[in-house]
Amino acid sequence: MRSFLTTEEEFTPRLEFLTDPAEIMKGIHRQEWDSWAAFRLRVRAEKIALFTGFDDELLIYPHLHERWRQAGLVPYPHQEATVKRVIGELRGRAILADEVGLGKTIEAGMIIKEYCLRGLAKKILILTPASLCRQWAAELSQKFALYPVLAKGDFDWKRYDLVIASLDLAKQEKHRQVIESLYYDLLVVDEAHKLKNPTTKNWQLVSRIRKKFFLLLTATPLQNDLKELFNLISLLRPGQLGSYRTFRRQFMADKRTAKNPEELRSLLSRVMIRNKRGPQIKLPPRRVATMPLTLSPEEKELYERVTAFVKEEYRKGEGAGVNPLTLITLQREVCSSSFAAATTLFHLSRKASETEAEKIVALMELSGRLKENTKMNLVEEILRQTGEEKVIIFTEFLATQRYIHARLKRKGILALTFDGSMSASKKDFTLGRFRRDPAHRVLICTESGGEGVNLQFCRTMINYDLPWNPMRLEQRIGRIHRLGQTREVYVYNLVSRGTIEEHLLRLLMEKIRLFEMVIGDLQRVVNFFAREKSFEARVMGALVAAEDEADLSRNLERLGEEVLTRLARNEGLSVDDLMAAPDDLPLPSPAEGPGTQREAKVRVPAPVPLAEQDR
Amino acid sequence: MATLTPEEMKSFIIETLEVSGASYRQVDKDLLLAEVTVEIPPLFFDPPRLEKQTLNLVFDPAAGVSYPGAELVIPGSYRLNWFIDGLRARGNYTLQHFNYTPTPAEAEAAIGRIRPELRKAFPLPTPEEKARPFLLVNYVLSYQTDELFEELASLGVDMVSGAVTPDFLRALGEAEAAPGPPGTEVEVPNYALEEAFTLLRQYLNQVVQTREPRWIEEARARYEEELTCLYQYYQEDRRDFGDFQSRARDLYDKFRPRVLVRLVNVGLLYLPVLVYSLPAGESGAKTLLRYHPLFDQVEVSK
Repeated sequence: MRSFLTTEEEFTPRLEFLTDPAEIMKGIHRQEWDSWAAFRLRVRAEKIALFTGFDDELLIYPHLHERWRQAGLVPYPHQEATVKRVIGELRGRAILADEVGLGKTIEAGMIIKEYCLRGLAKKILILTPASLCRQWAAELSQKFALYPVLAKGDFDWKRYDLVIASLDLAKQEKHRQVIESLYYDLLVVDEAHKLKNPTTKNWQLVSRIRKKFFLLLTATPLQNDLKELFNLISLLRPGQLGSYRTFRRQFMADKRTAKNPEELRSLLSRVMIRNKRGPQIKLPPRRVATMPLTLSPEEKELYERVTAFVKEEYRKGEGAGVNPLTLITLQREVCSSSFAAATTLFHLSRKASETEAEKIVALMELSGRLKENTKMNLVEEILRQTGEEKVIIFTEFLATQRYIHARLKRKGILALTFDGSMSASKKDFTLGRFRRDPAHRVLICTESGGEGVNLQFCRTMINYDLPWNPMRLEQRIGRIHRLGQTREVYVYNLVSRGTIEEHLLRLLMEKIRLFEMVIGDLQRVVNFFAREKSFEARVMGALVAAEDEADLSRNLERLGEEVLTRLARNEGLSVDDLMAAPDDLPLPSPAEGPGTQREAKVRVPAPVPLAEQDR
Repeated sequence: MATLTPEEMKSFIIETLEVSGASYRQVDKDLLLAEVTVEIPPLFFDPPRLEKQTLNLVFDPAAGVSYPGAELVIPGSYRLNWFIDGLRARGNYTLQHFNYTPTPAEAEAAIGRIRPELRKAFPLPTPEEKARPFLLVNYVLSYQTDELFEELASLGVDMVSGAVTPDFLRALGEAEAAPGPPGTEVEVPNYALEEAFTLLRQYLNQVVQTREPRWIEEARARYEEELTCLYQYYQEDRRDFGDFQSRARDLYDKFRPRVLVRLVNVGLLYLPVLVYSLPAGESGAKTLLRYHPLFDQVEVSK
């Protein structure tokens, strides 16, 4: 073979004898003779254990057949195809970039198990966000009979072969040094979109870990700009997209627009696999119902006075005594519950000047007088009509969560709370209890608590308040509307009439969903709003600029039009544009049509034919 | 792992149970019950102990449904690996001799068939029954680049001639072995055990060097592709040259061809040999004719 890069000597095979001849001689001299049958059988056993290469059949299927049957787990064809492609064509080095809820963890688990069964991977490290460590451990043990050790404290990295660790722990200096000195057969990094900046410790750690096989898992390999995609791919396989300068020259029109998409697509497809919802991969229908309610006069008064205060302060701009972000939070809180607003008002009153403190204290007193919130009546009604179904209630605020919990308790409904401040073991315990204990049929979850959690055993969700960003709403729904969900999913959005929530929901549900329905590309919507960090501020701007409700409606309408135009122009970029040929775009599934306020009355099926009425 | 049919797997497990002295019962064509002794590891204040356990084993994934709770023994399964690991404590060394059974007439007929030119010396005188020492060593050879494949090498060294015979275990076929050294006279070996192992190393080295080189060439091509790819990433930033070098080293480590040789077991075998002393011819020298009945080989020496 002619080559300029390597020499013949470098590629002359060397024999390495693993057994010390002196040991063999000792055994012979000790006369440790065994029978001829045992001798021959030993050779037969070694023959069975030989690794003789890959064939088309995956070993995991016969191996896990019974376990999966008992667990009711049936891997989907796209998952099997992904595993085969990663192991065969991509040689164990890939970005698994399936859309949210299509089972990336299952695919990764299958790949890990297959390598283990083949004897090709023994030392394995899985890096995930801290909140997902236990979930990974549970998935691997329950579905794949793999029993990882969770790294914590002064962990002995050399001792254990299958380890799950949080990136935050692994990058600590004392751990990093040991990890970098080891050689891993397989490295898996979940939520890999956090590895898009090569100057961060996360990226550098993952880049320096020595590994044979390497999987990166993310649903959003591309969000803000093409440089992030370059960094992610270069982490997986440096040089796949050349140097950054070459990449910029060849593939970037600007930071959000790709050029030479065919060539780029071909390069990406050699390292990335992206499965999307479509005719081949369908989820059960999702029914979304908007549940409007009228606030009580006291609640209405609180909402209006807090909104007026927020507007007044916001308009002051830099001269305001209150941080604009706090004002946005306060406005969102008052939409959620009087209790949530009271917490922020209390903190504000302690920092405010004397004049402002008076106003704030008055608002606090007003909120303090409200012992109940009307939204809870509707929640109780939904719970009554859903019978024995498990229900997840999402809220953005801890104070609201506490109120919902206390109120349900008073009504004799046992509920569990779930939030980001809970320890991993408490989270596990809570989820296990919610899943298994029929007495606890409600889980009250905050945004941060619900991140990355799989709750597809449950199909009913109540959004007690609405996030102002549709991406977060989609993430909430993704907790139950994901692969493994076998039943129709019901989502109830509670909206107070005459508040910004009402107008916002129309924007989210009608305009943006309309886009999704026509273009059929939810990911593009999600990507758009992931980039639009200022979207909440834009909504707030629309509120502040409005003199009355009609004004607010018009302002949000304009904002919606603008978003639609930009989405339709395909401004920015989506990994799907780069990964799929144009005629590959999935068709919208008729079963997954958008739920709108108008449709809600007719489309919410039994057992929840809730009348639209105030309670 | 090798592909085995459920029947082959079952026969392997039954043989393993027999060798280990465990009792077993075939309930029907699918289910096998085995009583085995397992070691329970220490737990808190309890020391490790041995415990009898009954295993319910099935060998066909489809049969698993009919026997809930039975363990499926298939390539990669915990229970198969458990048996294989258990066997690794057995059969490491063996000392066996093989007896000669054919009659002198049968031996003579065989010699005439193998070396027709020797027929002129027939009828042959009564042979001396001797035993020739052989060293049988089984190795697993792992051919590693970024890929892996393994094969088993079963090599026999003739301790008198120094000749190495490949696939030795298979050549022995179903010949009947008896434990211990033979009762007949043993030919004097010309090689010590250490020297025999050196011969084996040389032989294996030759096997590897003369092997069809595609596995190396393909790995080399993949390595060069990876190296080129890596270089493209670093080419414009000389500051990262150290980083590039370290990554390139890692890459080479991943792709370079290595053959790991792991010893499986060692046998000292005495194989029968019939030694015929033929009368001196015109040259005046006696001719010795050795017939190895197990290998159907004939050696002639002066």
